[in-house]
Amino acid sequence: MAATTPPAKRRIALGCEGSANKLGIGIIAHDDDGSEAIVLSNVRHTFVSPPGTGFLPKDTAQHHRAFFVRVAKQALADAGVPIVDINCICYTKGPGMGGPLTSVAIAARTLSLLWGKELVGVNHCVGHIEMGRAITGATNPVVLYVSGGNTQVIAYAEQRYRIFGETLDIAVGNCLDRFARTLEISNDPAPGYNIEQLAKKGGRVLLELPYAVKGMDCSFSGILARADDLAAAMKAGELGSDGEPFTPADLCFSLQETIFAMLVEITERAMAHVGSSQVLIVGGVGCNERLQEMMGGMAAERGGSVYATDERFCIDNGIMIAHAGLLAYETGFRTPLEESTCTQRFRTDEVFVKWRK
Amino acid sequence: MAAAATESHQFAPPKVLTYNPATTPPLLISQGAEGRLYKTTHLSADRPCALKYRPPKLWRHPILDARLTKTRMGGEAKVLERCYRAGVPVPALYAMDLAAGWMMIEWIHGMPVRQAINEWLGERPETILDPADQVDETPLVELMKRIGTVLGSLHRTGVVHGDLTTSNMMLKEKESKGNDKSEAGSKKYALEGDVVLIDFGLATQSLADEDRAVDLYVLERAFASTHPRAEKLFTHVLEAYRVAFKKAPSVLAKLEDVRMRGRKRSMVG
Amino acid sequence: MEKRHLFERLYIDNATAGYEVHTALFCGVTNRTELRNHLLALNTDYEYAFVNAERILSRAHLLSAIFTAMTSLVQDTLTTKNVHSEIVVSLNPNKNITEAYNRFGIPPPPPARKDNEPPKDVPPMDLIVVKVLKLDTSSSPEKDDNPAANDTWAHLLANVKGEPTRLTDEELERTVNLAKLRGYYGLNNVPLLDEIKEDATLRKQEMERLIIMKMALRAV
Repeated sequence: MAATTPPAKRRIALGCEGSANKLGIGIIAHDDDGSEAIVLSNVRHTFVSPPGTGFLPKDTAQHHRAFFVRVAKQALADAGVPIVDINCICYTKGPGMGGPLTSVAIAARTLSLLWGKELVGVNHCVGHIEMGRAITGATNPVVLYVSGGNTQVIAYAEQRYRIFGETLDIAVGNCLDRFARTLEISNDPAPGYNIEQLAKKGGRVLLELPYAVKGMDCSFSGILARADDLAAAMKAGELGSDGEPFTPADLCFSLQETIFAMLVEITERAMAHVGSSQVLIVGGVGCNERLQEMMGGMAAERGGSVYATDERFCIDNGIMIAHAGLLAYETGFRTPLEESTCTQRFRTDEVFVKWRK
Repeated sequence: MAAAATESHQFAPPKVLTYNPATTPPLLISQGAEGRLYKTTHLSADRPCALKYRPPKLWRHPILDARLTKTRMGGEAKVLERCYRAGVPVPALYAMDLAAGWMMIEWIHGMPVRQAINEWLGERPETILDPADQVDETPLVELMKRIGTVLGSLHRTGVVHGDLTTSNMMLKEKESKGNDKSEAGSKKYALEGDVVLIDFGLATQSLADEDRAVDLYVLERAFASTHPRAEKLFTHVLEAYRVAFKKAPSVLAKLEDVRMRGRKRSMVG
Repeated sequence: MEKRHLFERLYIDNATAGYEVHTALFCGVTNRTELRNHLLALNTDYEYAFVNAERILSRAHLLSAIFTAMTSLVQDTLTTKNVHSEIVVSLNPNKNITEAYNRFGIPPPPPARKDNEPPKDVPPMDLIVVKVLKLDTSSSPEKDDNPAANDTWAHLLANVKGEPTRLTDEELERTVNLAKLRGYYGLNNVPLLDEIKEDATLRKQEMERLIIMKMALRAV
């Protein structure tokens, strides 16, 4: 492949992501005519906190600082490209946790100065969307972006990813993470993954939880509070509404069934609204097979299909930052050093998407 | 409730439409995210009705699915009854089966306001209508005023619609139009008729200025995007609303606030 | 057969597949207590819906209840023991079954005031009878030739002591007690009705609609 593509016309970006507890560095190449994105390397290291605890910004930032050099070296080695061939350094500008974002931004600036490469600040959500589109080939999907920090239903229109619906309080991933803490489920490899596995053993009963959809928006805090109450009742030996005892597996099952139904419903509303039959699920919660299955059922009823990626791309990673950053870079976008800040709040629709029609 | 879907049934109709060869065969009118709409009859041929059917969503847990259908359709039915008895023009509720997911409501003869306005505008030259021009007496202004009056009566009743658009209002055919089938007649009466509000699937009971203002704002946005050439006439809706509803002044003041912070909603359009 | 034409077969859209529904009005029924006792004893010879004609505004009012009951019958979601009792409870705007029987069925006789007082005379009443029959699959569904219907009519003529009458809207206008209906269905102080001053036809039509809405909301 390298023989047929002149290296000079190929563009290469290194992307650094650390907006939450994953530190990811990836290297991507866009071929000459921009028709293909080639993943050269995609390395990740996750900060895992003990069961019953969440990851705190200070500890997470410390983790990212401690592992950055190791992960970067691995990414370069995996990619096998000389530093001179890299066109730009991309980093996550936001949204995310302040401390971890800053640690990675400083490291990206360091690489930029060290190697003499231009910087490109990237919106984390746009990174997820563009990577999802590139991997799945979905051309103009309604995007459900679900992670520990975000819950949004997005569709593209006139140079922006517009938010049609979103959570009115906490993110769906945050709801799952915090419930995992309530049940003291392991955070390794991820709390959501362990809830999903436990849920597969439940299903004898559907415990009643609030269902909070308002138009295309939704809310999760009331559901979490109720689920926590039910967990406390379970620990106290109380019985379910059917007079039978219930288990952590039943709780996980009921939680997943309820919140995923909400997500699928608001996605369906957005699809009907914009007249699309494609759905792309991105973000860490998008790995969940039950969510993918429900979304697939909905899309099939509408004569469409669902696109999802596996954990390499669903979960936060550096390659998506490299890819979205490179798309912007190719349109002439740069982030000057003095503007290479990061921000905890950075809405998806603030980004001018110059690379799409 | 006007044009029938040209395709024959793509989906199996709800069971209730399969028991008996009704005097008039059911007709699939539309299918949206929330469900499907059929035209059929209630009791006898002289009682045409719309049947709203929410088919089970098979991807959703059956217990949850049944619960949602029950609360939402039940809620819509309650709001219809509340409006109807208060004299707000809405279709009467005829029958309902929450377990099976359907309700029958009065069939409104006529066309959606959206279609009526677009057909009427289609006959005008390509100019923007402006209240400053000498078009104050146009049938369209009169229609806007009727809409405002109806919205005033809706809010007075303690209901907010939740999804106001010109597609969710019917222009009920007048008898006079029915008798005059000539082309001139149909033009003459194009915008006549009572405005009837439909589709209360997202309606809530509320007395809050905020909710009422958002209701108006949603319509204002929808009107601007659906009928850009008549956008400036929307002010007549609000004027008539002010006359019809005693608490309108505080709602309209709130509407200013809602417009100012319309950041997010403006993307929903 | 005698007065057979008074026993009308009803056709109700979207409801009556596989069944026939017949109805008639009996005016001035004198043996209401006896009929009520048959119902209470679950006497299978008396599987009828007996409806108090005083509590029915119009044919559409009654047919709405039959429609609801028939829908429950074919979907196997009856809330009472059979389709006939279901018709009676379907008339009520709430789920209270005993209340529904008392309001819309044959009401209980007035209680004796003292132990030693003889039972009060039970006044005659106008009674609507509805009978749901399984359609005889050997006969054509288009023809009114189900022999079971003839048997039913003969049984009614022999056992209901009243004047058989065809059930029409005109008869119902004579028998209805509007004040009772307004109470049952919450139709006092309804803006929609209060605004109609002159037009009695329109007033009745709107009343009918409000009643049918209340019945449809029974399950909510």
